Amino acid sequence: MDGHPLDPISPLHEPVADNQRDRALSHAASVAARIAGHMKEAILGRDDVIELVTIALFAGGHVLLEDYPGSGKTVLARALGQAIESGAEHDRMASFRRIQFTPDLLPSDITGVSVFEPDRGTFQFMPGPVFAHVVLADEINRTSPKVQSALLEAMAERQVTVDNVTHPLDELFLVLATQNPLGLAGTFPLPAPQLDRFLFKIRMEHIDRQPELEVVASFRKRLRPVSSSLPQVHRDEIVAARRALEDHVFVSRTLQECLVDIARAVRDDERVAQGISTRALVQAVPALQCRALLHQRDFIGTEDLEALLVPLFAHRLALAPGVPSAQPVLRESARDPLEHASRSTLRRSG
Amino acid sequence: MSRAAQRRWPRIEELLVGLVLALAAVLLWGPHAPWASLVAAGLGAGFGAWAGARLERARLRTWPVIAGAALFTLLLVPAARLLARVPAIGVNAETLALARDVVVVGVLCVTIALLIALLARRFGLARPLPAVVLVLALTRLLAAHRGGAIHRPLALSDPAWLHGWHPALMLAGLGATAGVIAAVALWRSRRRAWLQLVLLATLAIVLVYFAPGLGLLAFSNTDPLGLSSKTDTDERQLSSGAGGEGQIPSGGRPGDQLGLTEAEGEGGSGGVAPEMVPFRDEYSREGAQSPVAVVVLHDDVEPNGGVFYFRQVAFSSWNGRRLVRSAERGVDEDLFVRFPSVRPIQRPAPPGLGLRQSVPATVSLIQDHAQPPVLADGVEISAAPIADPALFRRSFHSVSEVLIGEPRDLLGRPAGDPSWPWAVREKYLALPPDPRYRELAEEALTMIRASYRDDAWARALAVSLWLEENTRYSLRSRHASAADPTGSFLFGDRIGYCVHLAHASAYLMRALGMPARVAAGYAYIAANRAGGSAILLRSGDAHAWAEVYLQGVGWVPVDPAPPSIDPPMPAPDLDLQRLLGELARPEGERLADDVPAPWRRPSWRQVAGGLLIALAGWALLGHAVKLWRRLAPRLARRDTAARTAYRAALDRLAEAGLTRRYGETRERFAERVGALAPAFTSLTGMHLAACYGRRAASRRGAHALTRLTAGQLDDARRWRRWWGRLAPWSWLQAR
Repeated sequence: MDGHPLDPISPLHEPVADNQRDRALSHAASVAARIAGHMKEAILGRDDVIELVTIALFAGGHVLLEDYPGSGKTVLARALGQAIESGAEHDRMASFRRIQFTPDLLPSDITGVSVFEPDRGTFQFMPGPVFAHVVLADEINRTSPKVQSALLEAMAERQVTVDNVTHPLDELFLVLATQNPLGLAGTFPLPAPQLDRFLFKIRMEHIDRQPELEVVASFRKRLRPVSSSLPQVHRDEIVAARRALEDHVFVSRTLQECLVDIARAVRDDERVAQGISTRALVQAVPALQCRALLHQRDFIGTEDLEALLVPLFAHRLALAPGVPSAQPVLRESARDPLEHASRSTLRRSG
Repeated sequence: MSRAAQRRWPRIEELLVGLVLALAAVLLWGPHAPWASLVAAGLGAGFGAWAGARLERARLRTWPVIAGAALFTLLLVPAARLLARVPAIGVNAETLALARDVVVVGVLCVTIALLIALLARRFGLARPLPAVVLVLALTRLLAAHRGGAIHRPLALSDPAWLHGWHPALMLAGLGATAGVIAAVALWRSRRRAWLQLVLLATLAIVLVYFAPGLGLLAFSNTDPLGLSSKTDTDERQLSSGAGGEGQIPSGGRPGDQLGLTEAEGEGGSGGVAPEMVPFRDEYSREGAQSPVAVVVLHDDVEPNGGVFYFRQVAFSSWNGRRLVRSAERGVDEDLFVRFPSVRPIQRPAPPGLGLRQSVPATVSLIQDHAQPPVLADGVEISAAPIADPALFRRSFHSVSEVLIGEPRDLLGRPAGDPSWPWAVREKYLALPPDPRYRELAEEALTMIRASYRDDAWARALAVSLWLEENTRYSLRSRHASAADPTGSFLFGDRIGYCVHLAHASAYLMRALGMPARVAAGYAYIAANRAGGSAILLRSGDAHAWAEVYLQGVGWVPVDPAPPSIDPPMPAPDLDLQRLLGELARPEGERLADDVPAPWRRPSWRQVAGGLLIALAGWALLGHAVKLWRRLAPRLARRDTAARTAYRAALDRLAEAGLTRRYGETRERFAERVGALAPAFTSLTGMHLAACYGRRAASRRGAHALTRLTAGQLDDARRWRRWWGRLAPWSWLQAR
């Protein structure tokens, strides 16, 4: 990632007075790079997915992965969980948990239950698997809507309420949900409002030939418990990086306008029954900021918007009957606003 | 705009384009076409526009569509023509021809409208094309209005007059509609609005240049001087309105004036020369004093023979009874058959320019005429503004090569022209198969000395002399019902008027082997000019005379004037002549004696020169802008340094043929170009950091990157860049 051609922090730029800001940003960038590095060690040929998952982690969003079995999502999630080091005060938190969703799962299997302790004569809350930094929710569409709602509520509120007691989840709480595109029989597809709670929906394609060869060649080495050469990232570092992102990566008025214009254009498209929500736009901003940082920039560019357009918005659209895919709709709707944003840079006021 | 409205809009636009094209097709095809083909044109254009809109959405490339349409037209039109030749049972030729017209027009309109609609939708530059076509159609329709001839086009103004409205209102309405359509078309395509504005402005300039005087004059349909009898005018107005074309000015059938029918003794009063051409027993002299036209000469001239001849028509073809107008090629092609409109009408200069003087003149018609009375021998007529629309119907400038000098100058020239084809010569020599003409002609030759009897002009004079000695002039005669009215005149009582005399002269000269014809129009005794430049033509001046063709001279009038047994025609009222001459002078020239310069259609060389100059101007402007954009980074302030430097780099990329696609982000474009010019990628980063971020770029750094980009481009695409440097528009592609 170093030496990116668009690196604005180059000798050609004059020194910026705000040293503190630069320091914070470069630290955040190094944190993100370490997290991504952990995942890249564990899984090959998925750099694009790794970038999106990293973005989701820093933007405080959740990810829905749509893929086939055996594509490495557990490995990815575990690597992410292991990259994060819990602080002493968060010792109750596991770094990584996996929930396999089945039709007979109950909400309490996720959130946790209160168990009567005969020694003390009280109910003691036994936290469920959601009390972790990274939760892999496998095949989320195979469970009943009731359980789905429980998880989605936890995702949205970042807290769990059991027996009238509210238990806050970790600030880092990240859900990597997967759903299988093949087995539609016996599934409960997630409705659009619930899909809207996911920051990204990532469709994982099969990896290329070369990385696949390498995977086959080195899988035995990778099966060993990961003892990474990279140092773990402390949870607090990630939280600090989030702050730095929000505060210091600049979002220009032009880009805000562009974002809103894209949303409006999508809503006006006749192929779209339900368009992009305002919540989606609000969620999009930190994600864009994080992508800018990953690409060594301290401002959001149209490039970020273009790159995140489909993972950010495609799953939130309810398409009119007969429209096969959201991608062309998004690309066409974005063309005019992107062109406008690009042109505005040549204008005096731009 | 709501979603539903947005969905509805393209339909409305399609409909609008269809309507515009249909209207333009009808305007361009009309107003002389039959109804069926007009309907075909309108429907065809509308359908073509609709099909073009459909086709635009289809995944078809534009060039194959154009080629296909051209091929289709090329095949179908000849096929339709061929089909019309095949005799169909039970269908008469007229219907067949109409069907062929309908098919051909329909197909042409469909194809052209389809292409226009397709191009207008595919290319931003072609968007105003339908509006342009409509404007051109309207301009063509209204071009006749120049010079304030507001009662044209009749199809448009007659309904207005009938309802008592001023036609200007109607025209203004049409113009406003066209303007609204153009504005809507522009508004619908804001993306390239400036380009279209330039296009429309250029079109407007061209229109103003090519059709000057489109402005409308106030016109009141009155006759303040009471010059023409009331009934006369009204009758003419109605008949011209009903006639559609409106150039045929009589109460009788159109064929009468052309001398094509045999209807005699009927028809309206006098005033227009060709009306008297059919032989007629009674020829009323009532209203003979009423003025029909005023001619202002712009040069002093004394015509050969002392008479100004204003020729309107000529009759050369013998139809078994009399001479009529010839429709054949090569015969009487020196005549002006119609009035000039937008462009001047020119005729080849007559031979014998040494014997002639070039005389410019302005003719203002007080009464409508079928053909322009042009001072013989006219070489060019062009439309002129009407000085006083309340008084004059129409005006035109003419340039005539008037025969001057003495009659004896014409001696010693053979008759006819050896370059004529045999058929033309035969036309000019045909006469009734009556041996008496030949005998009479031989007898006439005895009027002159034997030494002159072989000379063509002397023979013509002999014929004229014999007629003057042996006939009597009167407007009352009794030959109209005879099988050969001229024979009845010549071998009967020998009392007749100018038509008899002209026919007799022509026949006798033809009998002597001299090509001759009968011309009709006005004759004006030069002495009546009384030194002024104005010539007042009265209805009584209508005249017919014979003409003989002398080699190296052209058509020379042979006009015997036998003693009249009618009361003499009074001389023109000199005061009225002078007054009308003053009124007929174009505005602003009433005092000055300058020759009015008629508007001339610029020659192709002039047009090409003008275009070249305009192009050079545009190119210069383009290069100036280019230079400025190139120098701007050096002069820029710090806050605009990155922008101007980036723009300069974009210009150079455009020169090398590298431009950002629509909707492509700057970063992606930089990635695409990066292989050729890596420095541009850094420059893009700097520019975007300045625009989207809050970082100010360094001026020197940005400038250095621009230069680096240019250098890298030169290495990669040297020749393409040289070409781009020459193109003045390359910076327009940088975006």
